Amino acid sequence: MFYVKTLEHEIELEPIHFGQKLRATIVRLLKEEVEGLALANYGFVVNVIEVPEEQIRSGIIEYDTGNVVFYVKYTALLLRPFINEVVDATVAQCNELGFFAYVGPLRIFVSKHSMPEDMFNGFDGERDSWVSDDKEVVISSGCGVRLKIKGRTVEQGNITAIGTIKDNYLGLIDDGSGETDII
Amino acid sequence: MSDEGNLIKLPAPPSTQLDASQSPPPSSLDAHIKWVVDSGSIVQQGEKIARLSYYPHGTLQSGLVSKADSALAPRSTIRARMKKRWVSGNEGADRSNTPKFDSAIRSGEENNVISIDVRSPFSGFLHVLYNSDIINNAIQINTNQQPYHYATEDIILAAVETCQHPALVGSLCAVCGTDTRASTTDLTLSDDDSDKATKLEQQQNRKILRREHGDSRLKKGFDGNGSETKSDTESNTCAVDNSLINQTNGNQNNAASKLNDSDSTCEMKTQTKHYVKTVPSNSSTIRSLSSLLSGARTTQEMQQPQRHYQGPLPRRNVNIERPPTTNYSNPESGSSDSKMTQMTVSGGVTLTISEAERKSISEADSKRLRQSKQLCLVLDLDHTLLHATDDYRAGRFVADEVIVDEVNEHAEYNGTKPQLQTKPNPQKRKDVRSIFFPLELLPAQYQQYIQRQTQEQQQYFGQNRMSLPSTPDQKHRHFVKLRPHLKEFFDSIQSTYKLSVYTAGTRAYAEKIAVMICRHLVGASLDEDGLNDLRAKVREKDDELKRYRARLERRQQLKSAKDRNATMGSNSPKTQGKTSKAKKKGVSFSLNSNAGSGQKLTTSSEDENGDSPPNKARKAQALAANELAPSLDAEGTSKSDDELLAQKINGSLNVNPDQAEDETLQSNPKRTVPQPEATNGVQIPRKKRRVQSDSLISLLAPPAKAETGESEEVEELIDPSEERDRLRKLLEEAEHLEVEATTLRRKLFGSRIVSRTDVSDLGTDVKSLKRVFPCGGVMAAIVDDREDVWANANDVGRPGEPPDNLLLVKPYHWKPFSGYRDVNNASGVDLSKSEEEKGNNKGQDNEENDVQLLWIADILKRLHERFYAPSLSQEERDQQTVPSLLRSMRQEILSQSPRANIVFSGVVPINQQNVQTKVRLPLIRYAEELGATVLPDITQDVTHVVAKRDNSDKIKRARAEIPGCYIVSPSWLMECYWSISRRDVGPHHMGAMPEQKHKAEVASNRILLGESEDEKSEEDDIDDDFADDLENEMMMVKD
Repeated sequence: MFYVKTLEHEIELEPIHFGQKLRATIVRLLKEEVEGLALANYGFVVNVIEVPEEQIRSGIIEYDTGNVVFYVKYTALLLRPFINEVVDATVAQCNELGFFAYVGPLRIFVSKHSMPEDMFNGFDGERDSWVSDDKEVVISSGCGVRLKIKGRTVEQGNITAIGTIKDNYLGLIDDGSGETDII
Repeated sequence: MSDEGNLIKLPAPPSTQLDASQSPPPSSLDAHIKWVVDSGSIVQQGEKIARLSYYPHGTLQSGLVSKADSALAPRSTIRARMKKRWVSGNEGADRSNTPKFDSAIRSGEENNVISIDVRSPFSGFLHVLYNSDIINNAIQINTNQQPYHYATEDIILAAVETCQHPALVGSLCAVCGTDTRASTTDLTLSDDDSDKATKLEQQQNRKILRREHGDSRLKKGFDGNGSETKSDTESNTCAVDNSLINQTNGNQNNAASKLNDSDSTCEMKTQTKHYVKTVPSNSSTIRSLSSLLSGARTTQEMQQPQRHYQGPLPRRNVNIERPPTTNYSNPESGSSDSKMTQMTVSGGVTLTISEAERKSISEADSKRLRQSKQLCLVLDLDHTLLHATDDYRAGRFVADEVIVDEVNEHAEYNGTKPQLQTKPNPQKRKDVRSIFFPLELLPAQYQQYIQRQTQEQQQYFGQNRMSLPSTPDQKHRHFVKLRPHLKEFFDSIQSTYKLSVYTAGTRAYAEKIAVMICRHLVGASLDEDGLNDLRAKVREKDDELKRYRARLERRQQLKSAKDRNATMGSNSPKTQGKTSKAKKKGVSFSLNSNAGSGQKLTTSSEDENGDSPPNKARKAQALAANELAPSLDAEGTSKSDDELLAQKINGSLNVNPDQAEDETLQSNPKRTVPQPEATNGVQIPRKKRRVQSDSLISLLAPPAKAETGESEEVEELIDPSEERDRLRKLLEEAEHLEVEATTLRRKLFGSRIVSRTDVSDLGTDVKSLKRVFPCGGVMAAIVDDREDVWANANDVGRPGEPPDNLLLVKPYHWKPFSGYRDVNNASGVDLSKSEEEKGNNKGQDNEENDVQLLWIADILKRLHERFYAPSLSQEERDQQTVPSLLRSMRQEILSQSPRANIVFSGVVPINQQNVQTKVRLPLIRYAEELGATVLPDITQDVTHVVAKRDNSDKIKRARAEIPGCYIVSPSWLMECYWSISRRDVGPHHMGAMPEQKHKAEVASNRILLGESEDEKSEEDDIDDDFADDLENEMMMVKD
């Protein structure tokens, strides 16, 4: 789920940056440092929407280095996976244990145990795809699937999730051919 | 019961449905079952539609809660028991008709009651949900519309079914999504065998429970069937802490004294509240322990609001029975626990899979392989299939052409400058290729990198001028020399082997190399950058052709115009080339002539665009004329009006009809001024560019020439279409091959590429077969030049020695690359080389007569034939494993007659002699693996003496005492080992073959090697070699 939240970040600046463009530098550095990061409790920072200038507090000089630390408040667009959230994802890789799908930066693994029973043994090594017993559903890389997030873990700077397509209305929604198919 | 307000309590189902006669609590089990059903007929997905509450034995009546009992019962027990009970009461029921309960059920626990929520799997009317047959033992759920029936058995089982965590991604169970890491901190003692857990659990449970709660009044609910009760109540914890419960099993094996803490911690997740109520003395411990939980704690906290319905979705796996013992180990101990296998899958993600899962995968794998009569092969890249370097100098084997002429700053435009003399690169080789990958460096690093590269380039250009395909432009370039016979190798094995790549390089590197090998196999001569170059060239040519056509058209129009004007007797205008230079100046001039020409223009302009307003057209034409006039003025040639007119017409004819119309329609007087410029001089900007950098667009040479000579001879235009077509054809072919290569790569390697960046432990140079093959490689062979990396991959045999399925190859070094830095890890040790060969690097193996890959192909062929030998019965075939086959293949080599009895001389360092180590020295191991007998000293049986250098004591004795004994260098043994065949000793023999007189050999050898025999003392056999070496060295120094 996406949401917008105000967060705070600490920026350390060397004295060389002090000058007219100080604020611009802070904003730039903030974006560099924060965008793409996965914050444990908030999810991925997709985008820094706004850095209100008045929210950049005056810096604190570090005693040892002469660097200055700024605390910056910013509003960010966050992507945070929720358990039981249903998302549409793009399949990136298939392997014999399941497949990996991505929702933007979020990687979701769908185990073969979390597939419908008719796909449980349906891995096709030749094509690297999961095929249902009746050959109607073929999930290969590039496909779009609708899946439900079952679990998620926060590692250092990254969030990964586990999904399932073993439920009603879940599964293949786009075969990756580019043709629109409303389900 | 928080939700109870919304629920309607239904009467208990008729007692006939629940036959509890066999179950320990005989007093009407059904009385303890309460149905709570949602009355709404329209439900949302996940909405609670029913609640099944089961009051454990005794609790309802007595009012006492045996809460604590329930919490510790292992999940597996409860499942079995519950099932038994319900099934026993359900005899005769048609089980095949059980309704589907996919994800319909959650369970929760409140106030000593197992309560199972039946949730709607989707939105809609209830009657859509479960439209199945009525089963005897069923829950009847009444809605407003009609009754629905659920098999209680299913509900119970679905609720109690525990996820076995067959696969883990990171610490997450890939099936239920539970974070198994949550249970690591409090389970420091649970690394013991989880198998025992199930065996012991029942008695343990009882003991523990008694122990833990012995002092509490809860004992009351604990009768002879206490475990039953426990297990029943257990199910309520299944929400968040699935893994915790699993861990509990493990714990119960441990010293009972320690269980108190860990168990209570396990319960903490869902039951802290309750615990606080019932066992207040314990609560502080629990809290403090809970604070210890780290890591996934955050994740758990995220789930807090929904806590009761969190966690593993109970899956209805009634028919899929998993052995309850399979996997209760936690993933952290899983790395050390042999039960869990780490497996790297495509994309470099490591999954941890359980034993059962591993087995099922490996079985499926081997079945598939056997069906297609294939085997697996793991290939190493560096120094096995190829030699790669990122040294800049290696580019000389890749460049198409060498610049003979002056090198200027455009040197990178390889072969495109007509003014640069190039000749075909004599050193270009087809099997040297280059790969690119984007450089992932920080900006600062990147600057350094560029600096370094340019320095290198400059240095190199100083000595040796050459054109290089391109500069390192945000890309890193590697040069790769493929091993000879690579194509034959792949051709011979690709149908019989399923290939994998396991390299110490990065993932990007491995992927690129894989594609590159495939390009080589399909015969594509162009690599990625070559292809891109070609594409760019074709695009350029396309543009050129377009311009050419436009120009041609213009010329024709010009010609017709001239023809028309021929009546006026005008000569063809001479030069137009200088227009651009004199333009600025010319404006003022042209103003003069404008007045005169303006009138005349009307006629011609009306010819051109007849429907446009004459005034505007005139204006435009006049301005066009202005452009042209100055050239004449500047030249100082006085032209007649007629000539001028012709010029103007030229100008106007240049204008495309469309453009002219545009021009006239946009009759903005301000804009008209630049417009003619733009229209008239389609070529003007181009001319400017040409002036600036001729060489940049040197491909445009023919048209450029035509342009300058535009008004002279039409024949001078060179049609670029031929060249374009040629290039285009080339490109088409190349594209076709590229597609072929990509498909081949998919086919050959699929997603079976493992690289250093994928796995955390390759940093220590350790490879494990299990990463690629969950089956542990019984059907896989490995080709690698280093055996040390596989040293720990061995399950059977001596520890520290590589597994039998490793086919060691001679490390491949291409001589011209020697001295260039290696891209990835170092190569293996080449034991066949003697010291001086290593020193001066004149090994013969760098020549193109390296046939190692042919040997390997041959071995693999033999291996495959043996594995799928038609004479074998099915059972025999199933017994076959690649390691055992390879072992026997090796054994046959030197053990067959004449059996080789080998004595080593000068091979074993003196400090390792007489030392009994578990790990044999490589050469000795090779000899023994090949079936030879390694003797400590010269005896009459000796057939071969393998010596590093000639004239050791052993050799002398062998020559003197044993006629027909071969004195060979280690390269013989190595070649035998590399090729798994008995090699001819001839090329490796030291001195003359043994049929000859020994004394003569010794003499000649002495001269050859420059050694003086006299200096040698009579030494023990044991220390002969090392001491010899030392002494010889000293002698050399003296000399």
